[in-house]
Amino acid sequence: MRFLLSLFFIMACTSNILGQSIVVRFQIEFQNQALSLQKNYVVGADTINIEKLKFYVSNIALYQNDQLVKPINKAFHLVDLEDSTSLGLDSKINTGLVFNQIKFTLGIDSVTQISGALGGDLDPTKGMYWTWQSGYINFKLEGTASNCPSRNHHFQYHLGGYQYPFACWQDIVLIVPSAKTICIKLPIDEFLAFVQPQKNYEIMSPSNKTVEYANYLSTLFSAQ
Amino acid sequence: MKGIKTIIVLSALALLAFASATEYPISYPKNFPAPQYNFKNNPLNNASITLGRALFYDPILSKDNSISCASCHSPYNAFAHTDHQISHGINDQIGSRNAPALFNLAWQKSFMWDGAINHIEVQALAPMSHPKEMAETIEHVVEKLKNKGLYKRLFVNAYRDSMITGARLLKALAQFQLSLISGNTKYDQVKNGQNSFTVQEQNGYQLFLKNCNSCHREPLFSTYAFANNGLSVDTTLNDFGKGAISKRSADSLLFKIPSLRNLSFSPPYMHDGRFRTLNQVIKHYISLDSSQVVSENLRQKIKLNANEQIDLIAFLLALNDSSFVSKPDFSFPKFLLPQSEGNKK
Repeated sequence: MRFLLSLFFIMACTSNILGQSIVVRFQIEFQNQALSLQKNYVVGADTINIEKLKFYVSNIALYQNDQLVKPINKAFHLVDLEDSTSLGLDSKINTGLVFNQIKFTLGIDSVTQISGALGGDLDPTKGMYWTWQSGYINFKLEGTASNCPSRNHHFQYHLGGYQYPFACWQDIVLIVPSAKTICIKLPIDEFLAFVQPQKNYEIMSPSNKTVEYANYLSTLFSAQ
Repeated sequence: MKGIKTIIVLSALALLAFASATEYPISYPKNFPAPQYNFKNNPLNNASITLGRALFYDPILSKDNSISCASCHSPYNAFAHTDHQISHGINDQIGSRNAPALFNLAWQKSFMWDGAINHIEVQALAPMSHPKEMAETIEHVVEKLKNKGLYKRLFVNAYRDSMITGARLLKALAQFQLSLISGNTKYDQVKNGQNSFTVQEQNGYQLFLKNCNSCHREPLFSTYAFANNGLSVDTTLNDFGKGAISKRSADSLLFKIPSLRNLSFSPPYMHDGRFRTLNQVIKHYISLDSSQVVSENLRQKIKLNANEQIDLIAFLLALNDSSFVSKPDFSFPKFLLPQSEGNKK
């Protein structure tokens, strides 16, 4: 009996998943706390308020040393901070699977972008499709910053683009610990510190700046 | 007895719905190249085309229910907008371009004068959301359609259930527009051995092949590529075409090459509608000289004397497809949208 308990303990401490399901949860943070929409955050001399945050993820899968272990969600999934149910993804998983990485794509790849009108989370009614020029917005962040010189101090970052040289979807690989819940963190305050809404407050089309911001954004994700 | 009648009626309606979802057979001249649009994976069907036709003619797509697609794409004008250099939209606002004619869209890879749209199924989003065209959102259009019994029925016919989504709406609009095939001109009849050119038309055809065919390639009469045809920039518009989309200097002042079919129905010409007549268009091309920046195909001087200009126009008139502009299947669907309902604000 003691042997069995020891064995159970050892297994629970390894990357072997014992449960039947795994949850991937996106945690959007500001100043190390879960980000709340419509809340004022004081950042130095600035007061920042986030009104909208949405982004697409797809091809979420678990890997062990770059070998595919288990796809979690192949379909395009829209994470929308206004819809708390969109922050988590459940997947059934066999016991005993070993993994140490999670991979996913942030944004929409070029093949999907030229495939016409698509449904589900990709339906153009989701507010993530540019209308005057074809293409999905991969990542949308809107809000106000008191020191932003724009009308009503409003900033809008609509990051998207699928054609060279402005293709900006990102393949992201994160090291993950063994757990039934994988928490993927994204600190929005760090993104804003990089883009500086006091100077750059509108990104509405594919451009060099869009690519620069998307590249930086991809480095901010971490898992635990 | 009443129950049996109900069952019979419901069965008949179900059969009708099924029948109306039958495949729509596309037909086009044998000498047309293979379409760009993948009909194999996305076959046209009668029910979707009917739904798309209703949507195309219904001003419900605009913010105040005043402007339909057909407002700027009239069937009588080969689905272009005549009488105006630049098309006007909601609240009589003037846009920045001449609405292009709509036909043979299945042979085109990108859409709009600047190629900003990469697939016909997403094209309608552009005019729908433009503040000077329809000034509406697709989210709101979907909500409006959900409150209309007509559209509940048409969506059931097309998709077997009444769920109305943005993607379904756009696909149906695309299906109707893909059915707009123009391939019954005198030129097509000559190519099929059913007709013959006059001497003047034949001479014009030879002049066309020598001077125009590299960009306006037969039988579609366009390569649908993008070119700088030497038009000076209208400083009231400052429209730089494809360059503004791609942000590449090499694309500056490139505009999509339009087809030369149905020219008699679709004046004015050029992206900004600056020419009212074919005479003016030809005068522009023969006036180009080596000092102007133009695409490669136009760098060789085009020389046409007065008689040759007349012959060329005679040939261009043989590219009109009267059966296309008067085809009942493409016209305002009175059986779906009576004037009193379809066009009221």
